[in-house]
Amino acid sequence: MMKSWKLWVVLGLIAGMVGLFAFGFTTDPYKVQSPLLGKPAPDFTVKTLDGQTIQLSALRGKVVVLNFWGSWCAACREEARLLQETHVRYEQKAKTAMVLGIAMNDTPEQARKFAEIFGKTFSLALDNKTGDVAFQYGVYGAPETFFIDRQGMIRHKVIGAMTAEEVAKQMEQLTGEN
Amino acid sequence: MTKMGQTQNRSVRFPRNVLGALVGIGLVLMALPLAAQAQGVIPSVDEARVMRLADQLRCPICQGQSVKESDVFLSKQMRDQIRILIAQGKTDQEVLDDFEARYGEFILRSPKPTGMGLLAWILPVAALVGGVVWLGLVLMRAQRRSRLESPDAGGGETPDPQTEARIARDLKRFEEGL
Amino acid sequence: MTAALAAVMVGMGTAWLSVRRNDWNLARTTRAAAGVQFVMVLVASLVLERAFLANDFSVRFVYETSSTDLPLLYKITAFWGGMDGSLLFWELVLSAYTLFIVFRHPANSRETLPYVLFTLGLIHLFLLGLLVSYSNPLKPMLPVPMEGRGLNPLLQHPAMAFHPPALYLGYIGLAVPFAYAMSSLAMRRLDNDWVTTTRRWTLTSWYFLSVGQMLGGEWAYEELGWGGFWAWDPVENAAFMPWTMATAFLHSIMIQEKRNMMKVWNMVLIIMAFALSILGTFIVRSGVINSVHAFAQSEVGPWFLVFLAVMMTGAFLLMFNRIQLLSSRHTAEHLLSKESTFLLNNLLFVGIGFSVFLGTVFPLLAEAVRGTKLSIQAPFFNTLVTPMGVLLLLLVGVCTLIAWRMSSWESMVKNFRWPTLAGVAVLVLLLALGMRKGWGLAIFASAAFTTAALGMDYARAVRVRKSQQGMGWGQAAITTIGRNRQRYGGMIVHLAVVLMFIGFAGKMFSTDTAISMAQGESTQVGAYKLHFKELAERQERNVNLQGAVVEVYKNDRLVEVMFPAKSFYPGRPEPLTEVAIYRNLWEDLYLVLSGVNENGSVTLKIMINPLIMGAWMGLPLFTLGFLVAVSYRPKTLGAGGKEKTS
Repeated sequence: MMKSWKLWVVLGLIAGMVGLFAFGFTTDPYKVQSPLLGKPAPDFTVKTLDGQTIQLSALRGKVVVLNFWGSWCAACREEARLLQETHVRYEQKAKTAMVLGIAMNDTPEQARKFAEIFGKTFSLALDNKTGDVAFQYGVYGAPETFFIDRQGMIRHKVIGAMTAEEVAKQMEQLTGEN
Repeated sequence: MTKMGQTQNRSVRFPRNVLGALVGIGLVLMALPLAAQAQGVIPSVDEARVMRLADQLRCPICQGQSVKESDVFLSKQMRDQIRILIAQGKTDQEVLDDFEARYGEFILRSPKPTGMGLLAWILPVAALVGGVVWLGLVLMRAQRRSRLESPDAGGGETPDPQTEARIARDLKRFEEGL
Repeated sequence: MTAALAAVMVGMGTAWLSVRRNDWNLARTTRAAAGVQFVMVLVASLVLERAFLANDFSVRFVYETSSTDLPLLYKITAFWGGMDGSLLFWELVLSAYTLFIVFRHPANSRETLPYVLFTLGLIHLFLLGLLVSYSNPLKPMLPVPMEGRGLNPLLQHPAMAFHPPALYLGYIGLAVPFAYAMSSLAMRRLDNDWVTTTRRWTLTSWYFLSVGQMLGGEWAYEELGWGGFWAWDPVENAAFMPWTMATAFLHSIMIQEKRNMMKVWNMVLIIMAFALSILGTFIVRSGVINSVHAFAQSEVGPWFLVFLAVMMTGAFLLMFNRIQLLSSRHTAEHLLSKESTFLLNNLLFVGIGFSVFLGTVFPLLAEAVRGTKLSIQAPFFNTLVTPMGVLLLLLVGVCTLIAWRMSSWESMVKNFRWPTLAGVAVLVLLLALGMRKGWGLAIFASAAFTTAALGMDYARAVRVRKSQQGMGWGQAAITTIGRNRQRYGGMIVHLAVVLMFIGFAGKMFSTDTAISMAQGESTQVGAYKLHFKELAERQERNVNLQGAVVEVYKNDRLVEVMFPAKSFYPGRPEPLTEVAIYRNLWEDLYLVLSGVNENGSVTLKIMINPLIMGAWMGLPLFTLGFLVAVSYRPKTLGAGGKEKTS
């Protein structure tokens, strides 16, 4: 009796371990869910590269695509065009959203050069030396992109370069257009 | 495949290398005109306290290193953020809570002793205490039994005097190495 | 070539299996099979190695881990610089071990051999299966590139050249006692033969596991630039877990040999030790657990998991099926006996192993249960493992002083008097000197106690021998060791452990400062005055080093010129940190170049790590102890004939 009882415990533990690791295959260890999802987006004020002052809370009523990037970041190149398209479609034409890029760990010169090469014309600003804005959003690399709804709530976060489908899905949901 | 792709993308974000990578980003950063930002002043506070706190936070892009140990730019900024938070008069716990609110529980190097995290702390201790108790019981029982059975020899269940003598001799030989 | 080889390897694997299963008398065929299989794997390995030496980038694995400008040593060792090659190396070692077993198997237990080979054959089958399918290191690369991608610069370090093979030798070595354990179960043999026969295997694998980890620590310390040698990274834990089990096993088989106790327990330990070494490889290779260490995630992960599950289930089923044969008639008879210290030792090692395992998989568990990630890093492990480690250190001394079977209070008091005094004296002294770090104090005091206990024990044995056999002190000292190598080899290893603990404790007292210095400036750190002389650029092997020349003065005397730098490897734009270390017996001065500033000043991270030498000095002493211990042959083998001391 004792014997079989112990055996089942052991077998159960093995099965549990295998199950756990099998689960491990389904998750990406590099993906950490942000605790900010569903929470109000922390407010901040930044100065853009062309001298405008932007305060996030003043953008209520618009969907904000907040993109943390850097001119040194390779994956940021991949999504530059996508962000620009989003800017043209939703900000310039539909005027329902705004794309805001915040460069981290960067110089204005480098950032401008990057924007020029990759044709970014949307609002770009530089985070300060101590990374205050990035810290507010728990950013730990670039690119990271936050989708903020009209009420100023963070709805979605993407780590790494975004795909067109991902952006389209979020924008449709948040702006209610398609 | 997508998993790998993303991982690779990530790896070029902050040069993730644990080992510094400071000339890469660092040089660029040091070259930053300090006056570019009005904010971003690093307050001077009790450094020992900063380091103590930094040791409890993980560098999210490093391998096993704390914000204290790591030399990457992100960790530098995080240390600055700790300084800023301390300068705001926050307690140690409040500083840690602030980090947790932005980066998730992931940022803490050891799990909080509440909820699920408590389990991680309790299980090893419980296993050890259980083991000691069990060991104690087994030994006590054995000792009692050996006393009952052969009070003078202390020889457990080996009543055979020849065997008994051999064991004693062997042990003595073993002890003295002869 | 590759395809042919692959076919032969699979063929061999299966044929071998059936041969052994069907007919135990085909010993000759088995031998031949083992031989052929070894030769085949050897040829494959040589082909791969030749490809490395000849910069043959038509082999994908060579393309991925080597380049023409790589120094010779690293070209050779790039063999295990990636997963496919590592697996081949693993298989090569296992084949060599198998062959060795086939030819050196003791004649008196010939009938166990087929069972052993069958178990090993299953492992071979798994490895060869992977090698010819998912992770074939000889996979061709078309079109043939001109230049390889180069070995990860981090791995270009002498310790890293030998750390993986040492670990593998250890991991694989554990397969041998495991196979013997399984065969003794399968054959329903309830004696201790499997333990005795594999004693040296166990000891040797354990030694390599230990050395592998020490080398890993040294590598981390010299290469990673954060001033520590152990980060409790999942990959480190992966190597550490089987080690705890193997260490527990190593101690508890002594009880089985001497007192015929703990048979079930030892079975469990060897199964766990081997299972954890597979698990370790799985963790390292699958990327399931968050670690930047984790090498490329690949398709072999699930297969490792399947193998692990099958292996563990099979082993435990077999064990439970035979459990009634394993019940031992003895238990420890007295609370105050050497046996109970061994039991406690086992409990602590398993406790450490369990804590580390839990800490390693818990983040995954937490994510599975509640969906959010959490981290478990050094603070958690240190909090749990340090107390157990200190207890173990103390236990070494206690165990030495206490007698087998039963100790009387009088002899206990007599034996413990001086070592306890030594421990307390050190404690009081350090307290008086103002040391207030609890665990530091505990380690130093325990180290003093244990060293005194070991020393006393040895001195007593030498004295007895001297008076009994009329030798001089020197001769008595040597023959004492020579006549009981198992025991005194163990003693030397334990002394090495004490040394290492002192090194670990030293780490608790290390200091860490970051300073920016302009050229020509000096700064005082601890006992040293650092003078930043100039920036310099140097070329070493294939590496370009850019760093700061720092002169170190102690008491106004120049003691060292250091060169902390950034290293640029060919084809890698991101520089690595090149640490500079000035070593002496008491402390290391450890410089890291954090950055070169715009105005030509440098920012240095300066660490002073006291007593860390203990951790490194432990290695040679440890090796000596191992050699002494392993040179002892169990009685079942050496028939008569006095062994000569060297």
